[in-house]
Amino acid sequence: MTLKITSKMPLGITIILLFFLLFFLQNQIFSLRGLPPKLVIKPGEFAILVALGGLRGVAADLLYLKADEFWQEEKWEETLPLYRAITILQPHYVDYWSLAGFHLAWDMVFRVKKEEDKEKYSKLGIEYLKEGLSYNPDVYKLYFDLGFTYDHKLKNYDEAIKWYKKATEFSEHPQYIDRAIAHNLRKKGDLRSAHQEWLKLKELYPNDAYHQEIVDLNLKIVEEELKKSGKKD
Amino acid sequence: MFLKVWALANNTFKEAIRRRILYVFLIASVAIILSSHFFNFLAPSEEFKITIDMGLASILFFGMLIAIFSCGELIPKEIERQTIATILSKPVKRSEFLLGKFLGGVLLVFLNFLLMSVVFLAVVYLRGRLIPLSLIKALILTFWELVVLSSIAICLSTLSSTPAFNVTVSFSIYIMGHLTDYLMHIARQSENLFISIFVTVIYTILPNFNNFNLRDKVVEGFYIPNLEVVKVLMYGLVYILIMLGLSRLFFQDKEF
Repeated sequence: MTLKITSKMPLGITIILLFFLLFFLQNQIFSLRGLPPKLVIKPGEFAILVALGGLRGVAADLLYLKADEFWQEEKWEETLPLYRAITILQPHYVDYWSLAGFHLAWDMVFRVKKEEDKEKYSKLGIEYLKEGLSYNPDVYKLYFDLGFTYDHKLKNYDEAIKWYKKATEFSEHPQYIDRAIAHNLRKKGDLRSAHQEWLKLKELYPNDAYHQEIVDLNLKIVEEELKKSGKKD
Repeated sequence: MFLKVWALANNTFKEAIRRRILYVFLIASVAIILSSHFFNFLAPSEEFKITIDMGLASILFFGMLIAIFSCGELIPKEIERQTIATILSKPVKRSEFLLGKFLGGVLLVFLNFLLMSVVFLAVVYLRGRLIPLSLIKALILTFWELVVLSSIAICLSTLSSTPAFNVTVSFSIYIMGHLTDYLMHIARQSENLFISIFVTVIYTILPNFNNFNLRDKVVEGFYIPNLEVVKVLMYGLVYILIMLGLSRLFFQDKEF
C-alpha cells in the first residue's frame, strides 16, 4: 500500500504544480484582457447566461431576427423588451445599443401622440445610449448617436456638440462628425464660433474635394449671416 | 513508445469514425452553417455578424457533442468488450494506452472540426469577400477548447465506466466552464476570506472556457493580439496535461 502511494506521489505533486501554473496563466490572461465585466446583472438574467453557456451570440441573433420582424410589422413597442434582452446577452456589440436607442428616441417618439410621451421616449433613448457607452467607451459610434439625438431630436445643441466632440477624439471617426460640430454651433446661434470652426475644418482633410466643397459652401453661408447680423469685421 | 501510441490512436480513430451519430452531428452543423447564408434580408453588417455567430457557435456546439460522445465512450467501450484486458496484457503501458485513446479521440475531433471550418470559411468568404484574421484565431482557440473538453471526457471515463455518466458530467463541466469568470467576481467581492479562497480554488480547478471565447470579439471587431492567443493555448495545454495526469492516476490501479 505504502509503495503504491509513493509511486503516485511524483505525478500527484506534478499535477498540483500544474494547477499553480494554471492559476498563474489565468491571471496573465486577465491582465491582457482586463477583468470580465462586473456582475451587475439580476439573478434572472444570470440564469439565462448560465443556460446559454458560450452560445450567447446566437441567442442574441435569434432575438434580433424576431425584433427585426416586429420592426417590419411596425410593432415597435414589442421590440423594446427584445432589445433589452439582446443587449444583456451581447453588451459589447455596439450596433444593438445604437439600434435600441434609435427605436426609442426616433421610432417611438414618432409613434406616440402626447408631448409628455414623446419626451419620455426621447429620454429613454438617451439613457439607453448612455448605458451602452458604459459598456463600450472606446468606440466613437455611441458618442455620435448621442450627439445626433440631442441635435436632431431634442434640439439641445450644447449637449450635441459635447458628444460630437467626444466622438471626434477617436481616430476612426467619419468626417461628417467634425462638420456636425460646426453645424451645431451655427444652429445654436453662435455664428462667430461656427465661422472659426469652419475655418479650422478647411485645414482638415485638404485633399478631400467633397469635404472642401461642403466647407466652402458653409463658410459662405455663415459669412453672409455674420454680415447680416453685423458681426463680421 | 511513440509507435505504440500512434498505433493505438490510429485504431481508436478508425473505430470511432464508424459511429453514425457523429455524422448526424456533422451534417446538422454544416446545415446550420449553410443556413446562415439565407439571412440576406438584414443589413449587411448584421448578415455578416449572424453568419459568423452561427458558424462559430455551431462548430463549438457540435464539436463539443462530438468530443464528449466520442472521447467519453472510448475507454468504457474497451472495458465493456473486455478488449482492454487483451491490450494491456501486451507490452503496452497504461499511460501509452491512455495517450493513444486521447490522441485517437482528438484526431476524430480534428477531422470533424476541419470539415465544419472549411464549410464555414467558404460561407464567410462568399458573404463578405474576406476572411478576417481574428476569425482564424477564434477557430484555433475553438479547436483547442474542444481538445481540452476531450481530455476532460477521457479523464472522466477513467473514473466511471458508464458512458451516460461521462457524457452528462462532461456536459455539465462544459456549462460550468463558461461561468468561471463569474466565480472569480464572487471571490474578489467576498469579504469572507474562507469563501474567497474556496471560490478561488474552485475556479482554478474548473476549466475557464471563456478564455477560448473570441467569438464575441470577432463580431465586435476587436483586434486580438497574438500574445493573448499564445497564452490561452498554453493555458489549454496545461489543463490537458493535468487531465491526462489525473487520468493516469485514476487508471493506474484499475483492475479489469
